[in-house]
Amino acid sequence: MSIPTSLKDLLIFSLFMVMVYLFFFGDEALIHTIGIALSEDGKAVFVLFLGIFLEALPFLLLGAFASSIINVFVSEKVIAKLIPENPAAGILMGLVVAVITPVCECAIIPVVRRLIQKGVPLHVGVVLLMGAPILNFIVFGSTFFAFQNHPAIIYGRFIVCILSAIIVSACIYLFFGKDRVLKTQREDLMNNVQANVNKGDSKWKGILHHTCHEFFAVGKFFMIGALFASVAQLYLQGSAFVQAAQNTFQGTAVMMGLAYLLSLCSEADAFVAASFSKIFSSHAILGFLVFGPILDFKNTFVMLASFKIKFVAFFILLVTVAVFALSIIVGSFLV
Amino acid sequence: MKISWSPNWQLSNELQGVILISFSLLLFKLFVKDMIKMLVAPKLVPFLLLSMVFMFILGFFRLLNSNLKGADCDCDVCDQSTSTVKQLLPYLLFFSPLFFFFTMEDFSINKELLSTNGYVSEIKNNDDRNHDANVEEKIIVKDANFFSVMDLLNNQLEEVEGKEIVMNGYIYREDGFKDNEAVLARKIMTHCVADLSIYGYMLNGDISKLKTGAWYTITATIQKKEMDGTAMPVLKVKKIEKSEKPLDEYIYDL
Repeated sequence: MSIPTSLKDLLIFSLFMVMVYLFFFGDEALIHTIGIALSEDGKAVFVLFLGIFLEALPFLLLGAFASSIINVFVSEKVIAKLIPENPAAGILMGLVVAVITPVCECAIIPVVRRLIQKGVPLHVGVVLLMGAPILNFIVFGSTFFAFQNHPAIIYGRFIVCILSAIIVSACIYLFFGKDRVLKTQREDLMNNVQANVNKGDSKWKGILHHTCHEFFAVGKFFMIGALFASVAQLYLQGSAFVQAAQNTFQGTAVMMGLAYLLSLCSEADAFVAASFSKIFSSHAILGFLVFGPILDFKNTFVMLASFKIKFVAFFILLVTVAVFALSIIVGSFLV
Repeated sequence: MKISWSPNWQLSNELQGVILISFSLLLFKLFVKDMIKMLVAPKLVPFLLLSMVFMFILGFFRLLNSNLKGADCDCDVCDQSTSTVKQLLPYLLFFSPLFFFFTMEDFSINKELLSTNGYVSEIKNNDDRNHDANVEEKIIVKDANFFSVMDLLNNQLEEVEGKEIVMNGYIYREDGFKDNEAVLARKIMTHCVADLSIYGYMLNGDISKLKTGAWYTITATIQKKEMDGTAMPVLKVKKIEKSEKPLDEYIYDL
């Protein structure tokens, strides 16, 4: 698909000028002239939205930048060569790799798909899928920042994540073994046509472009998630829904459901969780912090694009049960 | 006349550039108008300034190199098969909030968002704090000593009982409160506007005429009151002065 260059330039230039105009002259009077005045609630939603977006922004940028450095400098072949044959050792190795890959859940699915296509065993891929979004330094940093006063939550998040990754991975190894779960196998890759004719070899340009690409790939889902989260912030409080929070089991189930619906990026969800920590028990917060990064509304679609539906359904069921049980068990030990 | 054509992904790369530059302009505007503190705690501001610079550079880079020339990049941006609408629609998700963010002038939240959570009047004993500090005859609560005073009133109530306290705050009433019950409160921000919570003290005395949500400077004596078996501080009102909402509406934790 393409469009005339002059039309494209005109569109971009006028958009840019509109943004510059808004920067200098944008005020409430302008909004009234156009006639889309926001109600009190609508304004509160946007204030909350901007707040959540701003506090996550540095982490989103850092994540995009770090993952594109890895993308350009560390090839899948190198990672695949390091994975051992033994399943237990493979799982352990997967955890180690998960720690050193600083990508969040939206970015890890394509990476895992490509790794499995290049010969990484499925159970190791699953460990990566579950571990990488949570077990990395950026997520540790933001969780640490958000829960400075509750160190139990910080450790609990990583303990629950590691344990559930091991359990789910072992089950996948037993039930699926060497089944083909991908939609496109290795052979399909061969007739992939390179569309960009300008491709060169400048690594730093590649990194910057990839940072942009990743930032927007993650960012569009983050915008939806943050908008949902701010609406939820405004209306969920005081409803009967929150009353369920007093019960450990109901509260954990509710928070896990919320994590699924809100679809926040693991680099930023700690801040949202912190704002819920007044209402919900720490079991529920743990469930939210572990379940959300592994599975949510947006990455279910991304997974269905890459994996067969039978595998996705089994994976969702396993992860839900494992995280729910472990959050409650670990939560009771820590608090 | 020959029309030259550009691929869609080039347009979407340029849109990304415009969005990145716009966000850095937005951050700059918020920072210059000193409104950023209404949205995030000051400890995050340095990170946001770094992000602002990075986004500005990245945006112009993306805009001016939108044809990806010379880059070693194997991402799926150059996928030609997606339709124009599907490829460009997501950018509305960035432009429409940007429009509202640029035009908003007042970032305070008027609605009592946290009404069901109740106010907080206790903080846990923090061993790092110096408990041997001299207790003055008259305690003046400022933004800087808000937490140490709250700590003092919770953990050394016997020692401060009967002393005079001056505090500026707004009147907060929970749903079940009667007219002569009220809390003198401040809003506390830990990270961003989404985690605002209300901290304050119960008031005692002739307070039925104090308006909910209005700001007052109150001079009072500290009293002890048993509630559900725990002692909590109550302020016996001596003098009430109307005051303006302070410049820094929020107090920042840590």
